[in-house]
Amino acid sequence: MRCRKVHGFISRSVDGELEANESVRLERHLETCSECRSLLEDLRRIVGAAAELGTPEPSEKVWRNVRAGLAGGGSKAPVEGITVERRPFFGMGLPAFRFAGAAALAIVLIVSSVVVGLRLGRRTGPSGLEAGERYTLAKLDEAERYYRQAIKSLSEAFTAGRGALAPQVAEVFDRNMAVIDATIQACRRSVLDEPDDLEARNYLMAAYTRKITLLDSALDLQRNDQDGAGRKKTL
Amino acid sequence: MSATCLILAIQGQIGDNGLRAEYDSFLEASLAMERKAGEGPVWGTADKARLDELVTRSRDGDLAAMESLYEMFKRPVFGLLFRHAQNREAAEDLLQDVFLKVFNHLRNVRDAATFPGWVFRIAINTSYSYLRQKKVQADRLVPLSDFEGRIEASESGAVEKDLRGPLEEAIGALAPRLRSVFVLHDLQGFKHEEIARTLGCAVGTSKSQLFKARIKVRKYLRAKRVV
Repeated sequence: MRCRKVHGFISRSVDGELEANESVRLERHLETCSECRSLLEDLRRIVGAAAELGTPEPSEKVWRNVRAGLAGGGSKAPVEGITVERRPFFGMGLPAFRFAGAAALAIVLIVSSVVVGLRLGRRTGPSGLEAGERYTLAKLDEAERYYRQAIKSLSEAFTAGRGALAPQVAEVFDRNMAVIDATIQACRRSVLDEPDDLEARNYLMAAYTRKITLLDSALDLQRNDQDGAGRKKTL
Repeated sequence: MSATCLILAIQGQIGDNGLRAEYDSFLEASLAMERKAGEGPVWGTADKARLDELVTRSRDGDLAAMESLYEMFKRPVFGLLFRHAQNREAAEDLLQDVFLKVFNHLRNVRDAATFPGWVFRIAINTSYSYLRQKKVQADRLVPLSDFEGRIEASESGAVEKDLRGPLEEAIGALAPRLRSVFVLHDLQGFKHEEIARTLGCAVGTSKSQLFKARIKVRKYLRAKRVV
């Protein structure tokens, strides 16, 4: 039997799907072919190791963001008896920090949809283009203000509890934050050079989102350190 | 037609297209994964009737039911997204996107039995969109991708003990389609029939792509002198 045909047998052998007679034929080939023997051994090891690779647990903020997105994103109203946690406005005290990131992300979605909508709208004719872009730029300015407000709130919350973080974590946080801040500065320079460049603005928004996400993650870590195990969800 | 095309074919609407996934197999594979994770019998309580009930309630806007569905599916879906994004933060963003799409289009799921397969289709579609977007962005703006790389390096610096670290790298080096097949089959325990349905290909294609993926992983690991 040729090696090429044996490869099919090898793959199925790794998955334990080989018929008895095929197994005999494979064994016979392996006795004389060191390459196929080595292939079978390697694949068994790879498949075994792959099955052992764990899956990380997503953090709890994902569901919070999904819930915030559903609450503000036009899904059907919740049924009676189920209350939706309202998102507080930024700057209204400590609980607001928890939802600042989600709220800012929701703003991004809204602004993105406006931008996409306007871009699609361009096809309708040149007359609406300038007004559309002006509106988009105004909305992006507005979004940027929200971002900065959210970042300010999150930064204050983080600074207040910074001592709860392990020094190594704080160091990684600082390094990442420095990179994001450098990105924001670079994007801002581009926006200042070309204020009408929607793409540059979008990159700036993406950089702000990164910063909010990082701050939100750091706050999660602080909370976990302070509260012990995080809230367990049950069915 | 690929899963991506199937989902994209309906503009402004993500439907299950009436395709009935092998519910029991999906449930079984995800159950096995949950049990292996040793995190309690989350899926164990999710019998067919329970899923039907949760999908129906979620369709009516019941947030508690939506949260239960999210809890059921978050780990296997996140596992797939994480292997595509190779970055925890990005994978969490994608997970959020996936479930927003799922819940905002749940009214299109006519039969709860199609739900698990439909969720994975959306997850794969979302992963591919992300990879395409990432590729475009990588050509235009360096700083953000630099940042992602540094975060990853700082998070995964201590995992190089055995095959695990290089294997993760090898999976990350696979083409998206091969990666999906490898992750779904070898990491998450899906059968070729489910993978074929999820990806919109023939069972034989799933099998041949799995072999191709394994060979590429081996080649990568051999180059690193790990196997």
